[in-house]
Amino acid sequence: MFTDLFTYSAAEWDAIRLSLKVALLCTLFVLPVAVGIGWLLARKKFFGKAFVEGFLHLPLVLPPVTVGYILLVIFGRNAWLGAFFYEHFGWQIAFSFPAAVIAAIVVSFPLVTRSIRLSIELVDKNYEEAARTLGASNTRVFFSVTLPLALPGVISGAILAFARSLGEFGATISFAGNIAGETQTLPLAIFSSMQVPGQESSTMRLVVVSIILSLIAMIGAEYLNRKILNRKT
Amino acid sequence: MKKVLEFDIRKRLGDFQLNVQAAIGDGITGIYGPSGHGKTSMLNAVAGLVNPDVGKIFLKDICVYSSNKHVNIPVHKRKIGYVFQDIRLFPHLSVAQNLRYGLKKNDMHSLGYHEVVDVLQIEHLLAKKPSECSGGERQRIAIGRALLSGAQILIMDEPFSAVDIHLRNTIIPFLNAVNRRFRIPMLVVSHDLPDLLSLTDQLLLLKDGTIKALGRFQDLLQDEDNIGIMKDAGLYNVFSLKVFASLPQKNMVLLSNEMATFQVQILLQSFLQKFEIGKPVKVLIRPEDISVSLRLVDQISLRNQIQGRIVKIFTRNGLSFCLVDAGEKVLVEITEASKKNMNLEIGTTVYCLFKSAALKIFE
Repeated sequence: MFTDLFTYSAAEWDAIRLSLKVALLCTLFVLPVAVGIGWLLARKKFFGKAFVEGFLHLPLVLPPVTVGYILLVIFGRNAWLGAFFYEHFGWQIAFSFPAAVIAAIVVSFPLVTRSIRLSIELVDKNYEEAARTLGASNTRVFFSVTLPLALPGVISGAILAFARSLGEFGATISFAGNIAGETQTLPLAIFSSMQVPGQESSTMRLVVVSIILSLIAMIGAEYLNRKILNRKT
Repeated sequence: MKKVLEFDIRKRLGDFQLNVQAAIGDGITGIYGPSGHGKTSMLNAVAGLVNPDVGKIFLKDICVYSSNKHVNIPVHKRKIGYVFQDIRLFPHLSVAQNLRYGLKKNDMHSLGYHEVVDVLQIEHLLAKKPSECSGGERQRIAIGRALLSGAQILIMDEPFSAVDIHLRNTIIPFLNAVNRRFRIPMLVVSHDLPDLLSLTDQLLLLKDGTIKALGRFQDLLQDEDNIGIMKDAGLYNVFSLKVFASLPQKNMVLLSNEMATFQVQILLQSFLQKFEIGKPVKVLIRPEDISVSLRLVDQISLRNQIQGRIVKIFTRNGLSFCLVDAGEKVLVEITEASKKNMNLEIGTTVYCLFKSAALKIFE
């Protein structure tokens, strides 16, 4: 049934490269925003906080296809934001590589924010207070005390974003489409090859890569977390 | 004495009302009060960690808070060094990084890093993590960290409670050294009076959110109300004396006050370190460990019989006290019965009797 499990075709390599690119870019963009929002939710009280929290967590519970559809409604060529970008910058966002990244960002955002928020909540405020008595401004307190102490949560948040992006399917296929070499990430490529009879070996090769990438991400997360825990105690 | 810190603040915290006014001078000031009577709240307001409802705070003649003039210098610009009860060294930084955290380059007020490390004897810890240091070491590091942040005044919240009970006294020489070497005024808070008295005789008494007294412990003893506040904490007589002479044949050392009007004998073994003539020592003794006699008693093993005159007699919480002027004011606890039997009254000449072993010595 499976003929060659180790020789990858150019199209398969494309899917792998594309998946990694989407996952890395997503992690890169999502992290700073999630740190900011996570801190806000952990440390500040403001009007409508419960509503904001609920809204931010929406992509976590909505079916990803729905998220993709909503993105399409916002960024489609004829939709309001999509039309704006197309007219002023000539960017067509839906069904393009950026759309795949945006879809990954939106679905992974609540996961990352949650992880970071929890770890910031666990940082003892007394350390922040001590830092202020030592002459540190609020910004310095955040970067020299809060963030380093919350680092395990930030790192596991980053890994979550990366892993979630690697596995993203529903929002991507409905918002970015399934365009080989541009938006066809690993899950989409697996789905496509499943549809074609006689492609079992190709499907299996992509599945194996998927498993390996996810494993590396998880083991890496665990390793980093241990390293930080050791450093702290 | 120059006033370093002056404040007049009010703050409501639930049912509790903090209402404190004081002008605090150089040197070490001990803040005593029972737990939950506003000590930490007062310090937090002074440091800027909480805002008073109304009032004003001056630090070295600079207004750092005034509700009238809408002045409120934020914590990180107040130059108040705060050594917290729970110490709070940053766990992710090394000892050296902790010490340098508040260090400002080109700040004329900053103390020398190496000098601070040297005085606090923490050189060997610099590369370690705070978690690898003992409780006493961590406390010294926290003191160093606060000193190096350019603090104009050092606030210490319960510095004796963070270390093991039998290690408590080890922090005292360091606090004295810091105060002497860096000439930095210190506010030391404790609910343990003997601990405070072993460090300083300048006291501020806080109870029910108000300041009941501020001054030398010896002078505070004149007031019955103060004694009432301090009694629960284990009341002590405290004398600042100097080594006057050694009596090697008796295995004793003679201590004396500045004017040589008050002298006590202590056991040579009481000295932990080498002693020399003129060395300052603090001597503590409980009022209940002192007896009074109307005449000198011979044929007795007690080494200390000090003559004085009763200047005050009063009863507090069912206990009778008399204050004896014997060159220093000595507070003695007596029973109502012996007061009557001996006909003790103001002006009576008495001898204060106590064993050398009842004295606590702090070098």
